[in-house]
Amino acid sequence: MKVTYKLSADCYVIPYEEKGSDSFIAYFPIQSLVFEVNNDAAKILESIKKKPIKTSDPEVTGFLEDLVSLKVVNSNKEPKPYVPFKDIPAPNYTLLLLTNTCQLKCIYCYGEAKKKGLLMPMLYAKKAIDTIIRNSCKLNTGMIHVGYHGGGEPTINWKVLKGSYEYALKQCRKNNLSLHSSICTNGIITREKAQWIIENIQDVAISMDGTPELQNLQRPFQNGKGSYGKVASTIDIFNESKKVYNIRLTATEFSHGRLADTISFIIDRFAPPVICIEPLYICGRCETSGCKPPPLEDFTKEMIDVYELGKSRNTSIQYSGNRISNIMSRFCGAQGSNFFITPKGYVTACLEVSELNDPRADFLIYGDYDPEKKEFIFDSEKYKRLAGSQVNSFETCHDCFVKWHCAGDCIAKAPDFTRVKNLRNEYRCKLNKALLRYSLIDNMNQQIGNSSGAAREKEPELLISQK
Amino acid sequence: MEEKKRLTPRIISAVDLTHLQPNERIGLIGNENLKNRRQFLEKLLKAGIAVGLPAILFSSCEPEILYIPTDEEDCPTYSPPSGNVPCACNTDATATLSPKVVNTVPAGNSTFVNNTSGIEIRIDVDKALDMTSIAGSISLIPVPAGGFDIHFYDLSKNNTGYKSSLALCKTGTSNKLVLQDDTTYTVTLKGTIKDTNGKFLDGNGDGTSGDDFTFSFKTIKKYDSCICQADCTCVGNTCSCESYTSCSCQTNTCYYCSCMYMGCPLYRI
Repeated sequence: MKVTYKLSADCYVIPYEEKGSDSFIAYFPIQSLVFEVNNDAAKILESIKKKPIKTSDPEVTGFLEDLVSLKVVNSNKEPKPYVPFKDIPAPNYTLLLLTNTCQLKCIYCYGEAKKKGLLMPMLYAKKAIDTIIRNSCKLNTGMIHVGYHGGGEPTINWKVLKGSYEYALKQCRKNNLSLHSSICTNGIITREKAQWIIENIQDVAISMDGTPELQNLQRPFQNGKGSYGKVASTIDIFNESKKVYNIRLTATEFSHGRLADTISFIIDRFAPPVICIEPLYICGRCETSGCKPPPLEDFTKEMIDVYELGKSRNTSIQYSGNRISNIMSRFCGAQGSNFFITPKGYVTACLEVSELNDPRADFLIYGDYDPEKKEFIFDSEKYKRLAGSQVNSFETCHDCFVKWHCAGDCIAKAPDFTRVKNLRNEYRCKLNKALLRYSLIDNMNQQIGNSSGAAREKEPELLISQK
Repeated sequence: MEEKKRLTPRIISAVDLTHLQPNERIGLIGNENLKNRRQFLEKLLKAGIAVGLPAILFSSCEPEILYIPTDEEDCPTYSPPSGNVPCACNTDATATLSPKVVNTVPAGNSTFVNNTSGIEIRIDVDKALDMTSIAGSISLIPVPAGGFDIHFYDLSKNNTGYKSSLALCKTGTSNKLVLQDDTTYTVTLKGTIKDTNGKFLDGNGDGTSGDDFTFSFKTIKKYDSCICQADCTCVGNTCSCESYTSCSCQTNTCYYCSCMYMGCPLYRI
């Protein structure tokens, strides 16, 4: 008698060339399951993805019954990651973009930060904190998160940084909330400021590009002098205090061919627990400096080498598009959670977009401080458009095995905002696929090595079916 | 024409990735499915097929895994899995691990300028603590005038990287403690503090529970540091900080009188 089998989970079949032409990876991301299967099993999976299979063939049935017992066939529809949203946001996290002024003139700066610019007044910082405190109390989240970031260098607006932190702390104590804090700095800070950050801020990211040569070339002072010495001495202060921090590095055409050496240098010199690497995205000052990202194919290989290097040196190497640990529908909080305040008091979903003249502003700046109401107001339609831009609705990602990991990647880097659901950044998209595939295979090998090394020695004879 | 030989469709190896962000993944898969999967993968393993099982499924207890709800439950299309019953034998993957201190404010061995508005003293622990074990188990030496209160924050439902936070506050308030200048303070958490699974504190992080956690910090005299840099908001080549002229430590070697902005009279690097 023929039985009908219908797929009930997301399934992707990927050629596993490293093992030969008859070998495939069957990946069920939401189920956190991955198989190596042979060609015939791969064909069955490709077929059942298109339409249900009706069969009485005992070999096919045997294979499909295994999938039934794993609840990926003929089961309830699998739940999909999705972040629900309402008409207006209720954040308990704010990122204060304290200034667009910077001591450095990085050749790729997205904010084109200058020597003199805007400083956020304390009013906006306090009002943003009041907003998240109010939401946290209402939603009983138990905590708030206040972060400090650029445009420029946040520590330049030191009075507001320190003052707003103390204000947040006071309000948290008053409302019985916990305060989580973070900062991203260029490392051009005094010992006293470094010490204050060590004692008060929990998550610290330091932007630096590695060797003196690369740092001085890519991240010089405004007058053109090298910044390596000052940044290195700041990192030394963090290390002296055993403060946990991560280094954030931008890979460009200048680091092309020497990424592994650069990472080796950072590990030898500073030993940070985490190094985040991002390939350059052309925007901001790139237009005038002409700086380009590294060639995709070479960069992909270099990243894989660097992952291996990180493993051997006990240093976590991270890249935002390759997140095998996460199953999610949004690349970041820009799609409905971010409540970032610019120096002018705009509410933006992306820290890279803080000015109304940015071509992405219409999509990403969705609120403003209203001096009459004395609170932040939101454009509900813009907010809903952002919050609704989840990977579930991205046509381009429909049949991609990476979709629940990169979640369609950074929307601020989409090539056309009028078609954000239909167009992806091709460079990052290809990179994400290649690196996620590497991580998947790496995890498979590691785990099989860990838990069934002995079993692997033995050639399997037949598939056991749970009938 | 030779027809290509048809092979039996088969799984060559199977790997369970639930251990990557287990809370998030178990929330999506559900306990019932995990139970079935465990049984199935173990069969494969016994049949000699290479299987990568995550440690979380190798619990010596019954295979029921604590179901952890996620945000996805708010999704209108989400149907929660059945079996949403915490296991009687508690197979929380971290249940057998002792709680550890993961962060302190101030950081251990730090030195800083005393502040008249008080100093935040906080200890973050990686697991949910049993509140009843905390009373009488934390000391601050020397004891500040008027003693201190301990405030307990249960953060186990938040994804903060730590699950409990303890703050030492001025008695009868939630304000920061005011401490003496030029004094070394030592905070001790006794090894009798336990988590909600009954595991005692692993104070020295050696994997054995029941030992104390201690950290010290030092408050320094105010006149040891110049205030000018702390209030300096100079930008570009213009230093708006004028207090350096009245600073008592105006020497080239005084770090606090240096300014990182080129053009400022106190610029040094």
